[in-house]
Order: sequence, then C-alpha cells, then structure tokens
Amino acid sequence: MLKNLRFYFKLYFKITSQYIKARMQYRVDFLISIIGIIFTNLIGIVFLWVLSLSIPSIGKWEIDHLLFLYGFSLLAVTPLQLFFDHIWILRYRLQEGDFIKYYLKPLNSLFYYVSEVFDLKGLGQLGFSIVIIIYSSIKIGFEWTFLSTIIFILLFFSASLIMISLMIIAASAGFWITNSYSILAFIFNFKDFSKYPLSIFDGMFKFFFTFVIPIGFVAFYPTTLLIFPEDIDLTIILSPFFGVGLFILAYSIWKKGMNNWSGTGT
Amino acid sequence: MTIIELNNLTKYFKVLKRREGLIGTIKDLFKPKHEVVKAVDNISMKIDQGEIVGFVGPNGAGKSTTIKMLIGVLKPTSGDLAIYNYLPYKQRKDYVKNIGVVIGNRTMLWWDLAVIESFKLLKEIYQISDKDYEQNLEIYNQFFNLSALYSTPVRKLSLGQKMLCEIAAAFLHNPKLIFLDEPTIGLDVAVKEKVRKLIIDLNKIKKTTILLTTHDIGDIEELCKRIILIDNGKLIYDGDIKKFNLIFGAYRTLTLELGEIDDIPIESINEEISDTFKPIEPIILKKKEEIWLTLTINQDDTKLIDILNFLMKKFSVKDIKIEEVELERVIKEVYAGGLK
Amino acid sequence: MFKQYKKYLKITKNSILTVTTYRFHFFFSIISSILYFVIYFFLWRSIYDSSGSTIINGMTFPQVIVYISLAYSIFVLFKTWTEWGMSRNIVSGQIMMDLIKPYNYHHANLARSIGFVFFNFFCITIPIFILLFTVFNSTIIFGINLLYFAFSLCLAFLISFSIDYSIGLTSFYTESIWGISITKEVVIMALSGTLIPLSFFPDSIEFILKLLPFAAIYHIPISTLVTPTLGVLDYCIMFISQISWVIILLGFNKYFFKQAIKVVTINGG
Repeated sequence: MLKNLRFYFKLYFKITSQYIKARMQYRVDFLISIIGIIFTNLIGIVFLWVLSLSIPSIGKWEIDHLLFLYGFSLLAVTPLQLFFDHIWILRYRLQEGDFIKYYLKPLNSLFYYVSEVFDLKGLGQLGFSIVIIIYSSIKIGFEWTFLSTIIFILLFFSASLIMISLMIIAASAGFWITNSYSILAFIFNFKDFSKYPLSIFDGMFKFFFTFVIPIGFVAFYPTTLLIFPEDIDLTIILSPFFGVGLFILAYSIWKKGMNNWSGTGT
Repeated sequence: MTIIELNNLTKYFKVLKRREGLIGTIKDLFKPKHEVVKAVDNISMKIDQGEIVGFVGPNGAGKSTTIKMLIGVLKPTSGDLAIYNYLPYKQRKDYVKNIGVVIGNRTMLWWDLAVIESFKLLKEIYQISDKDYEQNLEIYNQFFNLSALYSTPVRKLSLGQKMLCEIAAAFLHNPKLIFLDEPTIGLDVAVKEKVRKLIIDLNKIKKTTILLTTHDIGDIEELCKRIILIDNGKLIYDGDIKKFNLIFGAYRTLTLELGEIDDIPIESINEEISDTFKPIEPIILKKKEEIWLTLTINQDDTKLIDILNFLMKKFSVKDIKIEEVELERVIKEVYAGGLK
Repeated sequence: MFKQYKKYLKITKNSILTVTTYRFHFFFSIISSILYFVIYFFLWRSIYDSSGSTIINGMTFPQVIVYISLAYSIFVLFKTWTEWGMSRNIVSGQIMMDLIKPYNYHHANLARSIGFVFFNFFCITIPIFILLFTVFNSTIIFGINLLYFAFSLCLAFLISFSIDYSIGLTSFYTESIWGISITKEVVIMALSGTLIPLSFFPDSIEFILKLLPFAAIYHIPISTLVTPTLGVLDYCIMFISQISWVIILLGFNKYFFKQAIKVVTINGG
C-alpha cells in the first residue's frame, strides 16, 4: 500500500515535470490564462467590495469574515483546478474514442487520466487565495497556532475533496451520455455558490445546500468551525468525513462508467 | 501452447435509433428508441504463442469490438474468454502488464512530450529493468535508427514516424502479446513497408505473439501465417494464409483505357476473351468520355502478358492499371465457397 | 438578394438542431438558472434584512431581483459559444474548409450564433421570465416599451456577438483562448449588472461602466423594461449609443479578420 503510494507519487512527479516543460513552449497562453484566472477570482472581491459600500455585514458575517470565507472556498477548489483539470475534456476523449488508452496501462485509470494535465494557471489561484486568507485572517484576528493550522489543513483537505468528487461524478456522466458538458458546467458553478454563508437561506434551502447539493461543506461549515467555533453543531463536526465519503462514491461511479463505456466504432 | 482462447464470444449493443428532421429530434428527446446490434456473434478461436495472426474483415464487421474485449475494455455479453489465464476486463491492471497495444491513428504516447520522455515514463510505469530498457533501445537503434526521432515531441512526428514509435513503445516492456489495430492505416507505400519490417523483425527477435487487425491485404500477405476473417460479427474463415494466398494472391484486376472501338463488335470480343482466358468475373465495359475495360484474372491460370498482347492486337490501348483484389471481393468469394 | 441569405438560414437551422440533440444541456440549463436565481434571491434578501432599510442605492429588493434576473437571462440568452467554436475551428486548421466555402465567415458564425439564441430563448429565457412574472409581477412595465426592448435586445445581441467574434479571432495568434474568454465572461458578469446592479457602484465608476459596451448589452435593454420615466430623448441616446457600438465593433472585426487571416495565408497555418 505504502509502496504503491510512493510509486504513484514518483510517477506523478515525473509526468508533471515533463508536462510543465512541454507547456512552457506556450508562454503567452500561460500568461493570459493566469491573468484570466486572477480576474475570475477578482469578481468575488469586487462583489464584496461594492456590497461593503452599502452594508457593513450580512447577519453576523462582517465583510472581513465574508472575505475569509471567500478565500477558503477559493483555496478549497484550487486542488480541483490544479490536478483535475483534464476531466473537463473527458467528453471529447470519450466521443473521439481516445479514452481507450486509459484502459491499457497497468495503472489506476483515474490517476492515469488526471495525471496527464497539470493546470498551471491554478497556481495563480493558489497564490491569490493564500493572500486573501492571510489578509482576512489578520483583519478578523484569527490566530495561527499549531493546532489551528493543523485543523485548517485537515478541513481544507476534506473540503477540496467535495468539489473534486462532484466534478468526477459529473464528468463520469460522459460514459453514459454524449455530452456531459452541461452537467460539468452546472456542478462547477457550485464553487461560486459556496462563497456565501449558508445562514442566508431558510431552513429547507439550508438543508438542500447541505445534503442534496453539498456546497455548505466546501467552505461554509469548515469556515464556521474556524472562526465561529461557538456555533459548532453536528454537521460541522461531520464535515471532514463528508468529503472522504463523497470521494469514495465518485470513484466507484468512475469505475462503473469505465465498465459501461464501449468505445466508438465496432 | 495456447495463449488466447475464445469460446462463443458474443457482444450485443443497445443503440439509440435517431429519427429524422426537427420533429424526429424532439421525439428522440422525450421518447428514445433503441435497437440491439449484434456486433460480435459467437466467435471461437485459439491462438498459440509466437504466431502472427491477421484478424480481417470489412469496416463494421466487429473486429474492433472483438479486440476491445480482448484488451479488457469491453465486457462480453456472453461466452468465455481467457488470455494467459486472465479474464481481461476483470483483472485489467494485472493483465495489461502482459500485453502491448497499438491503434492506428490514435496515440498511446504523451502528445506533448518528446518520444524519449514517453519511453522513460513507460519504463517507470511498467517498472522495466535498466538492462531490458537499454537492450530494447539498442535494438531500436541498431535496426531502425529510431534515435533520430527521440527528441521530437509526439505531436510533431509524421504519421509514419509516429507509428514506428508507437510500435517501439508497445514492445518496450517485452510483452508476450501485442495487438496491432490498423498499424498501416493512412500511410504511403514506402512507410507501410518500413512499419511491416519493424513488426516482422521485432516478432523474430522477441518471439512475441501478434494479433493484427487490418483491412489491407498487403499487411496480411507480408506479415501473417494465419488469418481469421470475420464479417457481420461472425467468423467466416480461420486458417492458413497459404491457402488464402493461393487463391487471392494470384488475382489481379486489369483495367485498360481503350481508344476508338465503335466499329468493333464488343459482344464477340467478350466471348473470345472468356473462352481463351477464363476471367474470374465477367468483363465490365464502361463508356463515358473514355472507354474503360475491366477484368479480373487468376495469374496462375493466365499470364498477364498474354492477355495484354491479345487485347493490344484488338484495340489501341491508351492506359493500363493493374490492382490486387479488394477485401470486400475476397469476402464475397469466401461466402461463395472459394476457400473450402 | 433574398436567395443569398438562404444558406445562412440553413446554418441557423442546423445549429438549432445540433443543440436540441443534447437533451441534458436543455435540462441542466434550466436547473442551473433556477439555482442561480434561488441563491441570489436569498443573498439579496439577507442583504436587505441586514441593512435595516427597504431601499438601498435607490432600489427596493424586488427591483434588484428583477434587475439581476433580467441581466442574468440576457447573459444566458447570449451565451452562444461563438469564440469556442471558432477557436476549435481555427486551431485545428478546419477554418481552411470554411474559407473556401461560398459564404462569408463572419455571417456564417453570426447565423450559427442566432441558432443558439433561438434555443436559449425558448428553453431558458422564457422559463425565467415566467418565474419572474409569477413571483414579482409588478415591476416590469408593459406597453410600447416592449417593442423598444425587443429592438434594443437585437442591437445588444449584435454587440455581444461582435465581442465574442473578435475574441474568437485571437485564436489565430494563440493556442488557447481560455484565458481571454474567461476574462471577458467575468468582466461582463462583474460590470454588466448580472451580479450587482450598476447603481450599487460608486457614482464615478458607474458613469464609466455606462460608457463601456457591456452596459449597451445589459443596462440599456433592461432600462427599457424597468425605468418608467424614460422619454423620447432617453430612448434616442440609448439607441444611438448601441448603434455606435455595433458600427465600431463591426468595423473593428472586419479589419481584425483581414489582419488575422494573414497569419494563415502567409504562414500556411
């Protein structure tokens, strides 16, 4: 098991370093993409800033709390951006039949598939979100002790698995239907919805965004645990396990899709 | 030793039947109609270690579906399938260590990476020992001068260069069995020769079993000792290439462009040719702007030169084309009992 | 004259047929819009609750909701993937096949885009409007202004298409237009009023935003529906500014295409 893990880590490192070397031929594209992703992330800041001109807070969430929530949600979707960007074009690979190659290496198929693309522009997002988190944590007086850092990392890890799992499930729909893009785009939007406190919703919708479309676990619950620990409840405590569970589900759907897919042509 | 064994292998697909026009599309939206297609229908075969077997059939015959079952991509609807005692779709990860796959017009390599980097990654993935790896590179260099391509990214290779690299990559981890699916598709004649030579040489050096899918008769003639012919999902011939060559290897289709023949009674010439030369198929005469005469002969019975002499005496011949027979015609012949 | 445009009509029809084959797209677009609507409804409600007053920046809560949902439905209506289609087409070299066909590349793309708009209109915009009327029937004005709205919307579409088209043309110079396209989308989201009405911005910024083409796509058509005080002069100014943007962008694209195509004809792709 451990040996296996080391094998995959080493392999990922090798594939990715070669991939980055190759991508560096398209420097202009890289630059434009980085600018693009930073702009995408700035939009939320613009929204918060314009709001702050009119109102000081939403409920007990002041603008700086909202900024922290925003930063956390951005950070939580960064691993998706960095390591799983290849799932966006799964539908083309399936339609054109190229996907067949992922059956033919003695590797975990999901690993092999996502290892082929490392999304460099995600690095822009990583940097951006770290800056926001540091800035806002200073503003709200969040203390970075050893314990709080460990909890932060654990929560981040679990939260990031949620969007990753949802996107894997969405992409896997491509194994059954011709064009899974709309589902992917639909799910990907959740990352934007996760930036607002769930406390704005009425009871029914709150339940809906916790369990049916679990965007609450991407940022709201983990952030509450970090900055309003007095509000703690069962959902919040359970949140770290939610991501892991969802990932297991996503992986089994991927597996099922691989068994179902027939390739193109006879 | 038998390494591949199929017993009554069958694969059915459920296919959406699309309706035409705007109304049809809307109907499909709400009430899709499906039909069952028998892509592979009760195929049985055995293949031994070291053979090169040609797996042949027209487009849509079920070749790719069969191969996909053999390489573990598809799960058969029914029937048995064992390769080195593996059940491919079930034991995929362990099974694929033992095989290599090349699919024409697809790449198994990393599109953006230089060829040698792809090889290095394969070494890592298959955990190939340094000794085996070096030895293989040595072979590639010595026989095929492949090292000239090593630093080029895969996407910049020409079709032929890419195919050579794909094949080399498939042999890199010394698999016991290699699947080649249309390895010469889209290549020109000279490059086809190169690819075929690479396959033959590697088979000789490494004693690898090769299952070759193609619809290029040239591939089969040069590479295979045995062919398996399928059509409409059914196996229609499985046997020695010699027998196959004996009949079809000697067939040639002759096409001649003729000058003015208005005053010559074609009927009688037809009869004369048929009587003297016994062509395999009736003569076709097309009269458009030019006049073309087509006939297929068996070289074992009739010398090409004789028939040319005969025709040139009767007509003014402006142009001559000589072609090997097409696979579609071979299959027609098999149905008619030509290989029995 | 009419016959000349028949081929473009066929392209439009084809693009409608293409989208309708993706039944999941149809389904998820609606769900997605409803979800978006729900989230921003609650978000703005809690913003108004927190502020303690019923009017912020001169707008009531129902007005804000109507404004952003109109902006959003225009955003969805004009989402025709023009630049993505062009980019695939140009990067793969397929454009050569388009250039030798007997039609104008710009018009062909426009025709394709119109097909998407038709689809979006019936499958996304209409449901959103129905939702709007059933929940807040009061704040949209009905009358002759609907005609102005339709006219203004057509001009808005031409502007929106022209922006997409010029972004598509940049594919002649780069491998991937992801960065530029996403930047455009985000800038539009932020500055058009889709997320937040323009009147929430500080006055100076609001003034600048209204000068940009994005306002001509979103703010002007919406104004014809929600502002009861508009006079003839206001309409004239609005339409003139829209028409000027159309002319400027069409001219720019014509020039840009001529320049960009040189990349192919000189370097051979």
